[in-house]
Amino acid sequence: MGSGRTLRLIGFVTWFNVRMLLTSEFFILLTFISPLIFATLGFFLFRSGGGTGGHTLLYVALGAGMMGVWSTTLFGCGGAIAWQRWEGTLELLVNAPTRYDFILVGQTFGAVLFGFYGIVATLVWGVLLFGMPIEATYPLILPLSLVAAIVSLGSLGMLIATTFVLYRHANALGNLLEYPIWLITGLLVPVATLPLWVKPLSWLLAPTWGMEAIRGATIGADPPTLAIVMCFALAVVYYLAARITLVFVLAKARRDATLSLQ
Amino acid sequence: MESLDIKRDSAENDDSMTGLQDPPISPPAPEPSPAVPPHPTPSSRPSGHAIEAIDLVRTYRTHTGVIRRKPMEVEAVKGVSFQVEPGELFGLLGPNGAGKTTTIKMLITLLLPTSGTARVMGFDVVRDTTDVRRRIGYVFGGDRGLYDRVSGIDNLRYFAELYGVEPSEQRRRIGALLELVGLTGRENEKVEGYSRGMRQRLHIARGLLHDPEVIFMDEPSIGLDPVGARELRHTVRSLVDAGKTVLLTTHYMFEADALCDRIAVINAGRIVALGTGADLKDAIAERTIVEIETFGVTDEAVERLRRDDDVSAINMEERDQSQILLVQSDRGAHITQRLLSLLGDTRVGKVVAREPTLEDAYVHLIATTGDDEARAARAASVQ
Amino acid sequence: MTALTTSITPIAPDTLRSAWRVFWYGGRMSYGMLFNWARPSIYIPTLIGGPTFQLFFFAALGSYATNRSPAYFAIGNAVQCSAIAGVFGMTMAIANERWFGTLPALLATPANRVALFAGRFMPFVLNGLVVSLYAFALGVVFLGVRLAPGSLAVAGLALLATVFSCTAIGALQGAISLRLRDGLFGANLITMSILLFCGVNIPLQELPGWMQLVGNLLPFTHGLEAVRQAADGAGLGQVGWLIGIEALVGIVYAVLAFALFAYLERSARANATLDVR
Repeated sequence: MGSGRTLRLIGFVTWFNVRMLLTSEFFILLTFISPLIFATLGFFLFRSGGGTGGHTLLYVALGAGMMGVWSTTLFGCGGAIAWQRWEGTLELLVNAPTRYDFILVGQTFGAVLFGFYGIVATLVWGVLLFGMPIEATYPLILPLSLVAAIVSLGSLGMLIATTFVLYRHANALGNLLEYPIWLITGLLVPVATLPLWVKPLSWLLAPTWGMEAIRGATIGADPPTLAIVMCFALAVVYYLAARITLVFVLAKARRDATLSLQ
Repeated sequence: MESLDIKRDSAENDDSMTGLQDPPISPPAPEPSPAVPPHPTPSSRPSGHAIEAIDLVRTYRTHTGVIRRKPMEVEAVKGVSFQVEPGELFGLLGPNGAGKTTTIKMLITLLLPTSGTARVMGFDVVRDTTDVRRRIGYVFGGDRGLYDRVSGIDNLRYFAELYGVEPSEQRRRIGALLELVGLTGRENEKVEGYSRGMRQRLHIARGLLHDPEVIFMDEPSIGLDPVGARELRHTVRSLVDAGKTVLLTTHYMFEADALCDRIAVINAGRIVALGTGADLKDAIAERTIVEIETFGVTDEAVERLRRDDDVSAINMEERDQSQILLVQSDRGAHITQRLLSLLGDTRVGKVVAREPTLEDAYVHLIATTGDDEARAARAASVQ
Repeated sequence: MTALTTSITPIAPDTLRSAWRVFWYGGRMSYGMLFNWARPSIYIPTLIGGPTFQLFFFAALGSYATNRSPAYFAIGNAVQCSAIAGVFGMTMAIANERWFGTLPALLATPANRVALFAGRFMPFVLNGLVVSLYAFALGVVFLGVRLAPGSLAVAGLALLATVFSCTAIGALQGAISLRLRDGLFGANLITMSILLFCGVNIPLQELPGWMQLVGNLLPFTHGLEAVRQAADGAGLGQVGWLIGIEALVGIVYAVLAFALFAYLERSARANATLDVR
């Protein structure tokens, strides 16, 4: 299949999933409202501690926004394959002529893109309610940072999709993994303040570097080169891992006759 | 074309019916615990009937259209009256949308009648709801209505509490009921693993927990395979043999015929016939049904048949290559010759003249009663 | 056939004894029947794992951003976890009745409606207490939470009142969702609002006026304040009034929820709106 057609397919599936998520009350809450609540919490907490500068506000808004992105990625991708099975479309998609992992890519990137709408909402919130200034230290690098973050999160989302489907109650895992990831990826609490043994874990996770990349371009002192590189490097690793697990998962499903719901 | 007029309000007024069959199989159950003071109001004086419906009417308010919503009133039940004697197995038979479920829900206090009265064991369904609920069992068909996540016996234990079954009697009673419905040995499994048939049986067990005098069953055999349906009929019959009163709704005509002592045929919110299965067949007994297999019959030909004086009704069934005309006539088998000549050049296959079955009676009733528009639509579709 | 014809003597439904049994035994069974998270494979990640990490997250964030001790945030979030259990439990209980189609069967019984309703509360309040106690234990072991020994009972009472009132608002939310559809949305909204408005991480005084008003109208606020003061050693004399307010708030929400149910049942009988089939 030509790469042009592949891209169009992925683009179509991505957009399709974004529209679907827009119709879900749960995801509206998760992606738009939840980050606003955490941003407000963050604003008041930091203000209570004396931080009221523009940079602090932007730091909080971006951090809370990314928290929303992570939640959307987690729930949106974690359930992706399970939903398809529930809707009865998994069988069809797997047997379709196009490669299934392209469809999966579209679905996971759709969820991540949707999550990034949440960052926009949080920034608007900050401006309206707290007079947050919008500025960027390296405005030209910012788009690259965003792309890097989206790509690495999307790939991690693929890996999440292929592994969560092995666990019957993917939503419960989602419930479990919001707070700990928010914590160790340094979205609001810097990784530097975390205990030593946690740091390697942080460095392996996409949100850590994605956040660094975006933060570096907006309020950082130095350009976030390392962060951007790590984003893309991790994206490759995640993608390969996802491909391998996908082969395993689909083979298992065919063996256990669980491609469709019993 | 005249319509068969065996509309019923009370059976006494009818001359073509053979009258009510009225033997109570066993005397009505004794009044429960003396701790309950009898109601002083006249509405609760037992009137002898197990179930009494008097001019029940039920209308719903709905809307037409999406943007400019016009309120509309739909009359689901348009004045239904009947009585059921203690120990009787009474069937409410009708097509989907006829008003069966609405009627039964009014009788079991889940719906308020728009007008009219109903009494169960002498208690008014609107005023004495608790008294009614204590004395009735409610069994409905379908997949839902049970707590899937717990076992069958837990479902029964829960409802036993809700019905106030004495704790010391619960275990024995639940055990006996499980045996009655054939679920012994499966009661500890979660209901989510039960088959349709098992769920149905659990529904029945639940409806009998508090030993009700009257049992209402709403389409209990829906979705059951033939074996399951047969077992169900056997169970229902044995309930009545033990002295319970059962009111059953169904759209399976042969089920009503095989099971019920008396049947009320309901269509478009009204009772259009009431009596035993034999009575209903008798009502069109003098009729002959001529089945004519035709190939490519034209509308004009059918119309010619319909206009004949001796033809009282025509139904047409489409098959793959042929059409089967079911012609009802008062005239007896010798009408066959005239029908064939009226058909003219139409290619004809098998011709059978036979006695009417209950299905014919039912089909005829449904076709000739009901809303005027529905009737016209049906008439148009048979052309 | 003998079992069938033996007449049994049902307890008259309008007696206290029948109502009690519906409340106690019926209520206990609601947990397994209606709680989506009842099985360990879901319970552990959601009600043990989740609260664990929530505690550490806010302890870290709070102490980094402000100069308060982690213990402050640990207490607030430990109590908030009980709110999660109560609100979601109750919401699920009601939504599942609808999902399983058991409402017609329930409404056809003569069971006392108040006992039926109150019975549903009970297991979820208890569950909330269990979750909170676990979270408190975590706080004591890892985050420096100290409970003055004499006030354990008072703190426990305050916690009970708080869980009760959160379960009550869960019931109200559940009743609303019977007509308006998605219960999970409302449940999430309530628990997140509690996180923001009720003094879990930020004392009410530091919030703008309108937020304080919201916080005072929501359940949880007064109960949490009572728990905090009790942890510091306050006795019943000092926090009793706070516990009383919390309990009252809970009763108000419970009464509202019950009234809404009664209205919905009546309206369903009149208009067939409650999907009674």
